Amino acid sequence: MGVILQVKNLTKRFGGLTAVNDVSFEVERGSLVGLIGPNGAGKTTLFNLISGFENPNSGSIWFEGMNITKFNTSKRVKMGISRTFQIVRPLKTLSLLDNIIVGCMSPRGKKMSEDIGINQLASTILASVGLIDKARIPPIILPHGDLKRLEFARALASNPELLLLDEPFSGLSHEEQMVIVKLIKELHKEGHTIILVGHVLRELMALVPRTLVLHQGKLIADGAPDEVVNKKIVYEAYLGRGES
Amino acid sequence: MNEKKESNRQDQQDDKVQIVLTRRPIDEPFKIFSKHMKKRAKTFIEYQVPSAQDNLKSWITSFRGGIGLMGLILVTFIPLMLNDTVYYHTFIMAMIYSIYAASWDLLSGVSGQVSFGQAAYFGIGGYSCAYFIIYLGFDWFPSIFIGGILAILFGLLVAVPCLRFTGPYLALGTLAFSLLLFNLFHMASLSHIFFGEQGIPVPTLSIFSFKGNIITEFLIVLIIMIICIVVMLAIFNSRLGTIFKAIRDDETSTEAAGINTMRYKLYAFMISAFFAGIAGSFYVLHIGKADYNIYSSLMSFYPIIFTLVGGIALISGSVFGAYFYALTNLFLDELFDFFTQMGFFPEFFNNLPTAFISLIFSIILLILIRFTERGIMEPTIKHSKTLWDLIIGK
Repeated sequence: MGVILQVKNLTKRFGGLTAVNDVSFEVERGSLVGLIGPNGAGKTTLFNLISGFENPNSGSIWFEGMNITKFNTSKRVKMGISRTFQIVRPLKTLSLLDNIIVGCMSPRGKKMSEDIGINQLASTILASVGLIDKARIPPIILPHGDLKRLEFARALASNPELLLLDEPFSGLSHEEQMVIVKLIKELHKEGHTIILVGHVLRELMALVPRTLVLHQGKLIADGAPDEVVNKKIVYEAYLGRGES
Repeated sequence: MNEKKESNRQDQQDDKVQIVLTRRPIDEPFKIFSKHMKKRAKTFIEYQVPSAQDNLKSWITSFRGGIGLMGLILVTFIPLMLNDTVYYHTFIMAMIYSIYAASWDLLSGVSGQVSFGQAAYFGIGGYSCAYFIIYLGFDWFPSIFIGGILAILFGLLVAVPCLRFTGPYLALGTLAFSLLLFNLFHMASLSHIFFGEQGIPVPTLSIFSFKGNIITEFLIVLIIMIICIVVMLAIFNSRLGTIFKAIRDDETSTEAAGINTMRYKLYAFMISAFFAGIAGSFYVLHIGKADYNIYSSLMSFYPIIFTLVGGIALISGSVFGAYFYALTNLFLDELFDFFTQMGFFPEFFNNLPTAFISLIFSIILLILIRFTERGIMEPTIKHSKTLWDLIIGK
């Protein structure tokens, strides 16, 4: 298939704290990868580095063969990287539909909407996550589960090749998690590359064929979930709240 | 695109790693959407987003639309009926300030880029207009647009350094530019370039118009104001406006969605500067000269005051606030004249300094800020609607 993302010796320090410490890995096109680790391991920082919200102190990031380390965020989105935020960031004064329309106004989103028009594409994206009946409502009054789905939908609006999902399951009930799991599975089947950060390990481990484990900024394991879980070093890093 | 990939491709030492050039077509929507698209007939009739014409129709037939249109009729015909220079003057200033305040609202309220130096574009517009009329012999009509365009250029000049900052630092940067202009245009030593204390005296607009009187000036400014406000409202309600609001709400999130926020912030500065420049051109043509006071910080604060009084991030709120200021000033003026005529403390009311009205207005402003959260236009409309419903018996 081919490698879509390469991270080489990536390091990020915040003052005295090394949040990401010499991390290297590759992600194949079309794969579904989980990124786990205890709180503070550096998972969100790693996402920030890949999506362009932080600049690394050293190391490089290669996307589809191009060195994107110096590219800014919107340029990376233009290349096909899209991310969600752990704490949802909806646009508070706009309706849900407008939230999606903003994403559709990005260069890739506009290209995707050339045939059917931005309004209809945005409606379709909302419908696919099940929020279409709330299209004209602003996010302020919506429950957390809906906002998480909105976050997911907004990431899809820019038609990404690589989707970085930061804690897509946190704060959701089991049924709501199932909805997101189903969407992720469908996207994966269609050939998109997805990296998931998660704490809800039971769902994550059942879903992803490959897991990266981060601990104190270092990549300590990389492999299938059942292999990784049995490694002593991972056990010792005490994987979150779930049973290991 | 493929050639670019070849040249950027890293040197492969590891044979196992290949970089594939085939990708999913960029314009193909996700297949997970297709099943929703198949329900197209049902989906899109049900979830149809109303068109601009539908929105306009529903606005006109609503209570707000009724109030808006009635307001428009009032501000057009009341001065015409009263037919006195004082009233024409008040309403012309109200209209100029409306355009000016709305320009600030579009930049700061709608797009979230708070500007404390709006007078810079107002003044550049005014000075440019005056310069082209007096020194280059242009007609007033093109000079006004040239004022707007040169204001855009200055807006870019301000925006490029200032947009590196956000929040209070952006505001201070814009203020710095307007104060810079204030000093440049005041300095006697630079008066051979920047006109100094004298500024540029200009015959007023009422002289340029073919009838040569203030009524024509009033009508010209009215038409231009309606056009400017309608254009700004159109931007506000358009997708460009949606992006501006998105940048205001959460710039990082908007950037993450793929929007080049820096470019759109520059657009906001340019559009705002254009309308401020137009307003500045009319201001200079009305008062009869372009002088350095047009760049004062008070002039920068006027649009902020008008917009906050009326209601921020609405565009219509700025218009309301500007009229409120002009009409309150007029009212207080008339009130004090009335007191003088009636013989109440004539020594006091006859010799009032003009600053006294500003003092009263400041007190009114403080009271308004204390008791209304988001300006007085929305509560006024709501209470009017309650009253109207009561009258028609709902």
